[in-house]
Amino acid sequence: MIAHLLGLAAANLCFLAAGAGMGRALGLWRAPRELPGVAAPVYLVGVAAVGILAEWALVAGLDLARWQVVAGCAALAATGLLPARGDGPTLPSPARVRARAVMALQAAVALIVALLLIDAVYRPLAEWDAWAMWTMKAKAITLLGGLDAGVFAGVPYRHLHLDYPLLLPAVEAIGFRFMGAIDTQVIHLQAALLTAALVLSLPRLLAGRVPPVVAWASALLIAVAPSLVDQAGAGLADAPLAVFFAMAAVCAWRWLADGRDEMLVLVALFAAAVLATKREGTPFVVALIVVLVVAAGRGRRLAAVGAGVAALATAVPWQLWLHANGVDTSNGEIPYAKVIDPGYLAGRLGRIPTGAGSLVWHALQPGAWLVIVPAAAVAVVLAARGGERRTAVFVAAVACLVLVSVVWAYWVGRPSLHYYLQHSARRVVTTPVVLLGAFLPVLVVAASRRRAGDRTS
Amino acid sequence: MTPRLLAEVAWQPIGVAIAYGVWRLLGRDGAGRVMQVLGTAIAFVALAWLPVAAIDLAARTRHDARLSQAAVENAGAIHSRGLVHAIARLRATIPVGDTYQLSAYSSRVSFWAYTSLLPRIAVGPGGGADWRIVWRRHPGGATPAGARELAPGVWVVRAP
Repeated sequence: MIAHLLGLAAANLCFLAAGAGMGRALGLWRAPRELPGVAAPVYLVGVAAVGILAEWALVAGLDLARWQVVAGCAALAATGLLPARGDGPTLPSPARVRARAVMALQAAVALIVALLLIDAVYRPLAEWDAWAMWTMKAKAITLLGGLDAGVFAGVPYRHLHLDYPLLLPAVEAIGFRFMGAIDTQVIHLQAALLTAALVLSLPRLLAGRVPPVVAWASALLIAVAPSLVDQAGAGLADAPLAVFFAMAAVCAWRWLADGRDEMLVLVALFAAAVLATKREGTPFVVALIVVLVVAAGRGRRLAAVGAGVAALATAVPWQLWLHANGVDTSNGEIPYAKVIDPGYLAGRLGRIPTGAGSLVWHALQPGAWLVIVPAAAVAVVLAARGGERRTAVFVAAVACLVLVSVVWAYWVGRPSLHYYLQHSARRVVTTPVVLLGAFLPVLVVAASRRRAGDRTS
Repeated sequence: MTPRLLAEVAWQPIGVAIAYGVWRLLGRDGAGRVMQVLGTAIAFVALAWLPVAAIDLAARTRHDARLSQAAVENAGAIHSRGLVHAIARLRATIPVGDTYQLSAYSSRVSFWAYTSLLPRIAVGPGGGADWRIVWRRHPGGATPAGARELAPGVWVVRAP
C-alpha cells in the first residue's frame, strides 16, 4: 500500500506542478513564498487542466503512460515561467490571522480533512457506479492501453454510460499508471483529494471579500456534512462534479466582483472540467454561463459568452470520438426527440412536483447536509432585501437553475420516477448544495450589508 | 452512556467556547448583528457536528483497514460469494486478451464480469467471441453444446 500511495502522491505532485505553473501565469501567486497559500486552488487548476488534456490525449490515441503525463504536466508548469502581468495579484493577500477562533476553526478543518483522506485510502471499491463504471473505465484505460473501442464503444458495455466523459477515469488511470498497479482501494484518495482541496480553497478564493472567521466556519460546515463525507471517497463522480462546479461559480462571482480577466479564464477551465466529468454537468454549465452573461452587464457580456463557448468547445473531441465510434449518446434514458414535445411532456406533468419535492427534501436533510441550505436560504432572503441584491440573485439563480435542470431530466427521462429518486436523488443534490455551501460566507456578508446601510442612513 | 456519545457530549463545551469566540470576534470587527448571528450559527453547527463526523470517519477507517485482501478486491460482489468464485475460475480459464460473449441472468453479474475479467473484452452476439459464457442463477438445465461447468450455473465453451 505504501508504494501505491507514493505513486499516487507522485501523480498528484505532477498535477500540483501543472496547476502551479498555470496559477502563476494567471496571477494567483508571484513569489514562491505565496505558493503554499494557494496550493489548494492551484492543485484543482492542475487536476482540471490535466484531466481535460488527458481526455483529449485518450481521444488522440495515447495511453496516458507516465512519460506522457510528466511531459504534459511539465509543459503546463512551464507556463509559470512566462512573464507575469504587471497589474498586481489576481487575489488579494489573505489577512494575517491571529484570532484564536479562526485558528481553532482552521485546526478543525485540518482534522476533518486529514480523517477524510485517511478514510479514503482504506475504502474498498463497493459503490455500484464506482466499480461498474468509473473505476472500471480507469482499469480499462490502464489495462488496454487507452481508449479501446471494444470496451468504450462495445455493445455489451452500452449500459455503462459509454457517452459519459472521461476526466475522472483518466485521472484515476494516471493514478494507476503511477502506482504501477490497479489498487482499487488507494485510488479513492484521488477523488477525496479534490473535495479536500475545495474545502481548503474556498477561504483563499474569498479572501478580501469575507471575514476569515466566516470563511473557515463555512468551510468546516461543508467538510463535516455527512453526505459529502460519505461521497468524497466513494469513487463516484458526483463529488468531483460539485467541486469543479463550485470552483467555476466562485470564480465567476469573483470575476463579476473584481473584474479580473484571469478569473474568467478559471471559470472557463473549471466549467470545462465540469463538462469533462459528467454528462449532467452540461446543463449546469449552461445555467452558470447564462446567469453570468446576464449579470455581467453590457460591457462584459461578450467576454462571458466567450468563456462559455471556450468551455463547451473543450467537449468537442470526446463527442467526435463517440460519433466516430458509433456510440449511442442518447443512452436510452433521455428521449432527446421528445424534450419539447408538448404531448409527451403534458402526460408526465405529475413527475415535476414529486421530483422537485424529493430533491428539495434531500437537500434539506440535516442528516445529510446539516444546515447548509437553510442558512443559505436565510442569507439569500436577507441579502435580496438589502443592498447586496446582485450577489443574492446570482447565487440563487445558479442554484435554482441547476436544480431545475435535474427536475427537467426527471420529467423527461424514460426510467420511472421511483427509480430516479431511489438511485440518484441523494447524489444529484450534491452540486447545488455544495454550491450554496461555497457561497455561504459571501451570502452572510451580503445579508449583513443591509444593516450597515441602515445604520449610515 | 457509550464512549462515543460521551466523547460527542464532552466536546460540546469546547465547540460552544469556539463559537462564542467567533461571536466576539465578529462583534469586535464591527461585522453587524446579522453577520454575527449567521456566522456564529454556522460555526456552532459545524463545531457541534465535528465529533460526529470525526468519529464516523475514524470508525469506518478502522473497519475498512481490517478487511481482508479478498474482501477488498471483491467489495462490489460482497453479497455474492458464488460470483467471486466463478470469476476466479473464469480468469484462470480465459487467457488475457481473449474476447468472450456473456449471457448472464442479471446485470450485476454482467457488470461484475466486465470489470473483473479485464483485460479480456466482452463482445456482442455475432462479434466472433473466443469464448462463450452462460451464467444461470441456478445450476442445472440444459448444458450448452460443448460447454463445461466452471462453477454452479456457470458454463464456458471455447469457440471452435
